Amino acid sequence: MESIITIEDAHTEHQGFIRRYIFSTDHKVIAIQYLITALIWALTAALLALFFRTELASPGAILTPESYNASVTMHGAIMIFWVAMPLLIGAFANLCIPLMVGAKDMAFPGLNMLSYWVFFISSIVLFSSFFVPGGPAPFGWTIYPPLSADPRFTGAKMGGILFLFALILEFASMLMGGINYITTTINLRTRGLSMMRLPIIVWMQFIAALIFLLSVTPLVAGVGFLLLDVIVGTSFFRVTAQSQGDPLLWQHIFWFFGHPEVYVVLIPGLGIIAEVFASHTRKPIFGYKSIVYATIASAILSFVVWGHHMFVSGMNPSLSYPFAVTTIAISVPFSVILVCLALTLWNGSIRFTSSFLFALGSFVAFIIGGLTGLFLGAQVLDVYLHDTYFVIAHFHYTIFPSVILASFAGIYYWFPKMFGRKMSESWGKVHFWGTFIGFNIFAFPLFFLGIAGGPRRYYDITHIDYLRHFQWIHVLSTVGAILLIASQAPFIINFFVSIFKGKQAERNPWKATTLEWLAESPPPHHNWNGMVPIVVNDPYEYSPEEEREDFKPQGILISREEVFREGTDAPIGKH
Amino acid sequence: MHQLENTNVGIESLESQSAVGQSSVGIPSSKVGMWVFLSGEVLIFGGLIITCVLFRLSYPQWHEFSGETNALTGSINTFVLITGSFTIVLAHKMVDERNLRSAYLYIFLTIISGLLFLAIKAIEYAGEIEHGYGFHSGPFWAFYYGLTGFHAVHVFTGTVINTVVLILISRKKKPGNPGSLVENAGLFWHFVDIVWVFLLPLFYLS
Repeated sequence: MESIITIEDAHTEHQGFIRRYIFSTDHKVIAIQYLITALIWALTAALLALFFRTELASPGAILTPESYNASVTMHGAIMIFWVAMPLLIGAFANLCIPLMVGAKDMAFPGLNMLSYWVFFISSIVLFSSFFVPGGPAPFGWTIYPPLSADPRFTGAKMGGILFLFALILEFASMLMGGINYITTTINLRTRGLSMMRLPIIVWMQFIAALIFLLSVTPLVAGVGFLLLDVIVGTSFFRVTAQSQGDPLLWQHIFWFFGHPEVYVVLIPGLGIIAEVFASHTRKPIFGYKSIVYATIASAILSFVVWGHHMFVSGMNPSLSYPFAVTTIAISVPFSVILVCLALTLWNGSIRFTSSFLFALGSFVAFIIGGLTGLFLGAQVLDVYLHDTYFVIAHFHYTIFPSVILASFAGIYYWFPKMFGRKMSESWGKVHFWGTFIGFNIFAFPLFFLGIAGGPRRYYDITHIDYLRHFQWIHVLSTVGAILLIASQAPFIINFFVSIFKGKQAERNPWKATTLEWLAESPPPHHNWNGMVPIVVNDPYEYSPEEEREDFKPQGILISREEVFREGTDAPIGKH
Repeated sequence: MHQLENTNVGIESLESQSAVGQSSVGIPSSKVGMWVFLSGEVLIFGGLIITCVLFRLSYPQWHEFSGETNALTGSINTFVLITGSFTIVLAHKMVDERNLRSAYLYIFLTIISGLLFLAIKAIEYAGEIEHGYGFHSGPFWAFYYGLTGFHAVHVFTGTVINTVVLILISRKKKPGNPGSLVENAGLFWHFVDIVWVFLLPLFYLS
């Protein structure tokens, strides 16, 4: 049986370039494919943001109202669906789950490859929508009908159709990924790795995949029906002479997905923060079980809060009370998670690497986002703040830390594992401070614009009397956005230079405990070079008293014969 | 770790992804994956059916339209689908008993039941369109065509899956455990069947 494995591994070593790097079934290659595609999209969406922020700072300068609408829509949609999802779910779940559970690959490697390529096709479809007559979809990333259901309103028929098609493909791709993540976590854990010994990020990815699976599926059907409205002319979501559709129905379907979705992209980000905190403070995660149970609780609650997006939509007002209560309630489990993370920092011997700085920045910024969410969750205040820049600021304070800052923490942290080399720390710190300061200059002033009543989506506020003297906030915010985007230059250079010229990384550059650091950097196809990782410890045994080193790795690598000899429950010889 | 008899562990090429070559919970990964997939499918149809029920409650004239659909062909189709579910269960039983010849026959019958269902559905659609009821004729007909059409796509997909399974297990070189393949195809087929049991009262009897 040993010989069979050797033949199999030797075979994969000699795959051609295309099988190995393009149509690869290797989860690490797929993770890198997702990562790079997402970073390209992030840059595209950031440039769109640059356009319309410049526009808001000096109205009429570079965009027409129509192209302003389109850039705002595409910025939001791309950042959520083509950046956040492939970064956190596509790249990090693919990279982490098989390595951290000690598997050779995902449960269904072929499906995994298909997932990326469906995502790639959806990217192409979306990208092509920029170049059709009428321009890309301009109806806002929430796709509210009747604006989206009837092309006569916007004049962007083809752009809208392509956008909706791309969305369905993207959902399908992420669902295929999700099936893999869930099955792999349930079924391919190595010996000794019980669920309560999983690293936090695997738990987070597992729960996020479950939330996504159960929330996006109704929206898949909803988008299909919206497409029927646009193409065939049915009236599920619009009102015509013959037939009474229901525009509010779309909002229910969309937010039934939309709110769990923000947790889908938040929870894996918290997972990355937890991994980085533990290894950089040399302390076990504080309250492992509390974090796991709190995440499960928030996942369940996330399905019953969607109405807080619809307090002013014309939904029955008495419904707003239960939704306000659940929304305030969901802050409890998240407070538990954040307090546990904060207490992990307490008395740690912290190493301030770029990765840790990003994790800490993400943690701090997210607290601002979380606290301002309470204002919007209470329906009395929301009626006033709804559709103002307060919402924009709150949203960016939640999504930006959990998606962008946490992903950067993850990229700096796992870069040695992905590419076998290290990124430059000094450039990493330049990148962090530019990003963090730029982001705060961009987002924080918008809270005040929102409280002053500044409505979102407006092309030009200088025509409005009560807002005219707040134009400086837009200018300041745009300056922050420019600093934020310019600060990505050191990252891009650092990233690509380090792939080829970075310092060689050893197996475990951060002296971390979890299983992925037992593998080579980068791990070969099937990860373990014919060895088998066996879990012997809890995931975060840092600074144990009796040990000479300041950490105990979660597992050990043993040879296949040893597994066969030692375990009565190891049926490995059957293969 | 969990004790595991490896004799019934699904498709080996999938199982061997686990470094120690075993399933952590003792269920083949392909089956776990199928259940995960079906839980998503339940939410798709669940959302659609709930939406449909809400529309039905706010449209008192709904029952006039549902009187226009052909309850007879609807009932015949229910019978056809449930028979198909029965034969795929028998096919799984026959595979387990190593009686492959009967298994081929039962899978073939399941494929026929799917095709028969689609044929009857097509005749039904043709009749309704002839009476002037299209996608545009109000919410009932939009939901009717939308949901039954989406379901028909699933019946078609299930039939393709069953055909592929039949080809795979009847070839000399087996890709893995045929029992696992038939079981997973059967799970999907039962799901398609159950959805129809919800659609029938919604569009034919309400």
